[in-house]
Amino acid sequence: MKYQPIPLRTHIITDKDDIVKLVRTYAEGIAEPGDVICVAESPVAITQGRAILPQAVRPSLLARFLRHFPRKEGSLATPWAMQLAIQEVGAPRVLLGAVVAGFGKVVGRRGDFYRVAGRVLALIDDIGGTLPPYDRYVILGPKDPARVVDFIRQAIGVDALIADVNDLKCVDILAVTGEHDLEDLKEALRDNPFGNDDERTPIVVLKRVGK
Amino acid sequence: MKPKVTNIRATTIAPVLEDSTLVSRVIIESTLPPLRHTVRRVNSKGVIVILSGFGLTPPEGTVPVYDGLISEIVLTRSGPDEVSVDIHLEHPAEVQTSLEVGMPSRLTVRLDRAYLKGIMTGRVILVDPGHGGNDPGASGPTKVLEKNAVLDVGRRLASAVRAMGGEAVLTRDEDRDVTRGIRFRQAHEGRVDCLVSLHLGAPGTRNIRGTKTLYLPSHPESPTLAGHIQEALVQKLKLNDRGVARDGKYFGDLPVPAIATELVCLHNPVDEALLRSWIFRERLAQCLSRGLKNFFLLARNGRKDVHRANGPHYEGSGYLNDVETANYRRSGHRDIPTGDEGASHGLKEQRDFPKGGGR
Repeated sequence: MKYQPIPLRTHIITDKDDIVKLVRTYAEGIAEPGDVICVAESPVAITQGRAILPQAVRPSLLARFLRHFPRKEGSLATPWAMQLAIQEVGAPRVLLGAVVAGFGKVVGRRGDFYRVAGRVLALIDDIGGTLPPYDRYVILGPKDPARVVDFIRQAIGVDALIADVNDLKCVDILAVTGEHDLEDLKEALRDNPFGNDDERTPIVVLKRVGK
Repeated sequence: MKPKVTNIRATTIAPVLEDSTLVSRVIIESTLPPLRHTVRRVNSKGVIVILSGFGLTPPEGTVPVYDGLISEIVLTRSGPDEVSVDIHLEHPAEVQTSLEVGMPSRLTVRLDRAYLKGIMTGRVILVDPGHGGNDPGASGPTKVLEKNAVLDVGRRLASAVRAMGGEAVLTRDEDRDVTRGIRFRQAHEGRVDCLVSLHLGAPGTRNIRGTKTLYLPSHPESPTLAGHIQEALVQKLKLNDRGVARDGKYFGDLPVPAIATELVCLHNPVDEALLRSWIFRERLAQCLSRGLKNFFLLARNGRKDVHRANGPHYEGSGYLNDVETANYRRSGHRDIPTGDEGASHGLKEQRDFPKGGGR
C-alpha cells in the first residue's frame, strides 16, 4: 500500500463549522506535503447546511409514488429523501432514471437509476444514515466538492480529497487535488477509516509510505 | 513535529466476537509510538494511561462506551506535553497493554472480561422475538415489519448473552407462528431465570419516538429488570425515554421476572430508519445484554438494593408526553397518570398506558 491512513477524531461537526478551519485545526502538524487529507462527504455537506429535517420537506405525489421502487435499505426509500432527490436534479431526470432502471431490472442490470438521474443522488443519506444528532436529518451530497478541496489545499498546503466510503468496501472519490493514482487512494480508504459506528473520525490523513 | 494522539476508540460493536476471548480493548492511536507511557490502576474500577511528550488532536472530553465492562473513557491534557486517558470500568478487570509501532502507532489496553462471565454463568434467559409467521406485528412507514426486526435483534441478543457466559433460549429462531402457550412455556415451568420479550412501539402517530419497557407486575423482580433494561437502552443509545410501565395482561402469570421492551417506535420514520441499520440492531442487543448483566449482578450480590430502591435509580420520564396524553384520552381513558404513583419506589411508573399496537 502506498498510503497509510491516520484517522483523526473530531468534535461533533455541525453547520456552524467551517470545513477548511476544521481540517486545519485537526490535520495541521500531522499532514505534510505529499500526504493527502481526506474528508468524508457527509460532514462536508453538514457544514454546508445540506442536512435537512424531514419535517421541512413536503413530499409531492411523485415522490410518494417513486419511493416504493428503491430497495428498503436504500437511501431513497422514504418520501422525504425522494422529494429531495427530485429537488436536486429535477422531476424529469428522476422519472427517466426510474424508467431506465425498470428496464435494467428486467435484464438484470443494476445502477441504471443513478447513471441516468445523476450520481449526486447516490450521495443522499436518508434519516438514520449518520451519527446523532444528524440521524434525524436527510443529508444531501456536498455542494461543489472540487472547490472545497481546492480551498483546503490552498489553506493548508496539502492535497485534499472528499470521498464517500461504505462498509461494503466501495470507495467513491468525489474530488481530489494534485496528481495521484486514484486506485492507490481508493485502496488506502477501502477499510473505511472514517468509521462505521460512533467512531467520529471524519478526517483521515493518508501518509505516503516510503517517501 | 511534536507527536500527537490522533484517535481513541473502544470496541463497541465487536464485543460479541471479542467476548469469545473475553477482552475489551481501548486503542490509542498516535503519530509516533508512545514509548514513555505509564498505565496505573486508580482503584478496582479505573485505569489511567498517561502518555508523556504527546499533544492531543481529539477534543478533550468523555467518550461513552457502555460495552458491559467499560463505561466511559475520559481524554484530557494533563500537562503541556502530557495526555491522560482515564478508563472507567463497571467491574474489576485484569489489564494488559501492547504497543504496535506503525503509522499510526497503536497502544492497546486489553481488559479482561472474566468478571462478566462470572455474573452470567448458569443464567438462562428466554428471549422472545414478538409476533412471527402470519402475525407481522406493526409496520413502519417504509414497511419495515416488526416481526423481522425483533427476530434479528433477538438473535443478536442471544449471541451476546452466550458470549457473556449465559444461556439464551429463543422462542422462535425463524419467521413462524408461535402460540402464546409455547412461547412462554419454559417461563411458566420456571426453567429459565427471566423472560425478555422484544417488541416495537406502534403508538399510531409518527410523532412519538423512543423506548419503553413493560413489566410483569406480579413478580417482584420484574420492575428491577425493566429498570436495568430501560436504563441501558437510554444511556448508550440516547433514545427518547418513554419510561417503564406495568403490564399484567400480556404475560399472564409467570413465576419468573418478565419484561417486554418496545425497543423503538416503528411508526416514527427516524426510529424506523435506525432499525434498518444492522449496526443499530447490534447496539440494541448489546444494551439489552448489558441490562441483563446488571440485573444478574444484583442477584449475585444478594439483591441488597432490589427491595431498597426497587431497581436502579431511574431518571426516565415514565410519564405520558403531550402526544401520548392526547392518544390516551382518545382511547377513552380519563385518569391521566401523573407519574407520582411509583415515586416512592424510586421508580417512576405508569399505572396504565395507551394501546400499543405493536403488541
